[in-house]
Amino acid sequence: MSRAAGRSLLGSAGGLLGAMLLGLLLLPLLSLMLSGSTAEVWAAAGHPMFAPALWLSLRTTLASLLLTLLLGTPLSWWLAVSRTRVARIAEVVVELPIVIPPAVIGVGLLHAYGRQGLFGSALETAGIAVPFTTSAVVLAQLMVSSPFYVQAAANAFRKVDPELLIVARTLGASPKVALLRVALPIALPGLVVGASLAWARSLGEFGATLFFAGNMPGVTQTLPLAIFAAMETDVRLAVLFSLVLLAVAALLLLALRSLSNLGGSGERGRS
Amino acid sequence: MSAWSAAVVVRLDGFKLDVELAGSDGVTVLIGPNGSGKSTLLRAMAGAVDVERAEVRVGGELLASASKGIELPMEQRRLGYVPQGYGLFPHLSAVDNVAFGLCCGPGRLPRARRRRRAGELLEELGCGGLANRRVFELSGGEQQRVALARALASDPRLLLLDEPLAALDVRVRRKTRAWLGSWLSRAGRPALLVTHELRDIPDGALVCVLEEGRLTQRGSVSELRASPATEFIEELLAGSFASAPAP
Repeated sequence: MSRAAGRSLLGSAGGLLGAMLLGLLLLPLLSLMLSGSTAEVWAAAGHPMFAPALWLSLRTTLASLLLTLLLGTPLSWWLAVSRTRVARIAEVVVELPIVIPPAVIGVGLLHAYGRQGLFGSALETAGIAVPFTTSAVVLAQLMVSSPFYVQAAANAFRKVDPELLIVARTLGASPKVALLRVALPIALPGLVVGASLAWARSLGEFGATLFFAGNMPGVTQTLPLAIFAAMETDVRLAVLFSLVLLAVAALLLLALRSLSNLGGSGERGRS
Repeated sequence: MSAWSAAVVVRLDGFKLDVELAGSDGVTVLIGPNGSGKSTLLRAMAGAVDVERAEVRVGGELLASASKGIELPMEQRRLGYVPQGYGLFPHLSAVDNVAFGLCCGPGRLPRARRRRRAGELLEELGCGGLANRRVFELSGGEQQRVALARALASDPRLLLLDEPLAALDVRVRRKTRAWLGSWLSRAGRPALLVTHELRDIPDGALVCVLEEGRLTQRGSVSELRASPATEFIEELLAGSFASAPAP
């Protein structure tokens, strides 16, 4: 058999394997999409559980995304430029929540902020209760989603040519101005991708939230938890809720990806 | 008195750069083989690398002095640094690249006047028609002119040009070499130009030869030809200079 024929066979075998995975990924989504009519989805959207859960999901994911951007951007910059041992250790700390099961994160959060927890008693003395509140939902989402942003942002910052920052400084820019006006805009497409991944992760967050925040309608019941609650009483309702969540997530992800493509068009054209 | 001087000691991964040199109001060329420390010296003068010891003086002002505890940050040195590959900001148009030098430095202009002045600078360098083009749409020669216009925008006391011709193909390089030589003589400020090719040296420039982190000879091209101090300089004169067009 010629090498070209071998490559072609490998190509078609590889294509088949890839197509199988794509099929596996698409199958549950397709079956969800085919399971409800538009009228049924609209009817489900009118269910009393739906609006508060969707609103809470949007509010909390927006809050956790803003916190992620605010706290994660400086951290990712530091991880990208620092060559210290501390930075490499910090990188592992950031990656940990990605590999730890969400339930473990939920238990950990309870042990940190619960009444008997590490900071719980101090917080209680100050009159602050975190577990089983909306703040707990945000904290759980932040914990599971921010690593995705920090990782992507650090990688994007690493790709910024350090020479450009030196040039910016010699042109009179302070380190802060060089970061904001040169590094940040160049890394922006990567930051947007990271933010979209983090946002999608917090929108789908379930395990850590259930353990740390509970499942209280209007307070801690986000859309994934509403689906879980609906499964216990009305499977059809759970399917329809899932459809709406799928549509919302897909739309927002597409919007963020388009933004990222717009930002990255210049770089792609470089040769 | 020289227009500028630099005495720099840098240690980097087993490599030691230990150089003292000074230049006049015109062009000083730093020439040497790859890895001799030319770019490191430029970066050290700009304040971009950690130095063991440095004393950099430009126009009578000390930018860095280990003995006097002075070390101005990069943004206060007013050195027009153009790195290899020009270092243009890919997210900005040509005119906005130039305007960057007018928004942060000592010659900071109000927003409305920045773009106008940047446009004028581009015109002066013969590339006014490129103002709104993105960096990736420009040829190597055009990128070089935009980078020079940007360096000038911040009103530098000394231009530091790192291999400004290296990124160009042979044909463009020949044309740009002549243009750059005449532009530098009109630019009205001293320049330290790094190259590793003798043919890139503008007429009348002072040449400093750097080898393995040390200055091995200093003088005009004819002085170098009269008594080359090292084997490298002999090879340089025999090879590149022999094939260079007549001055």
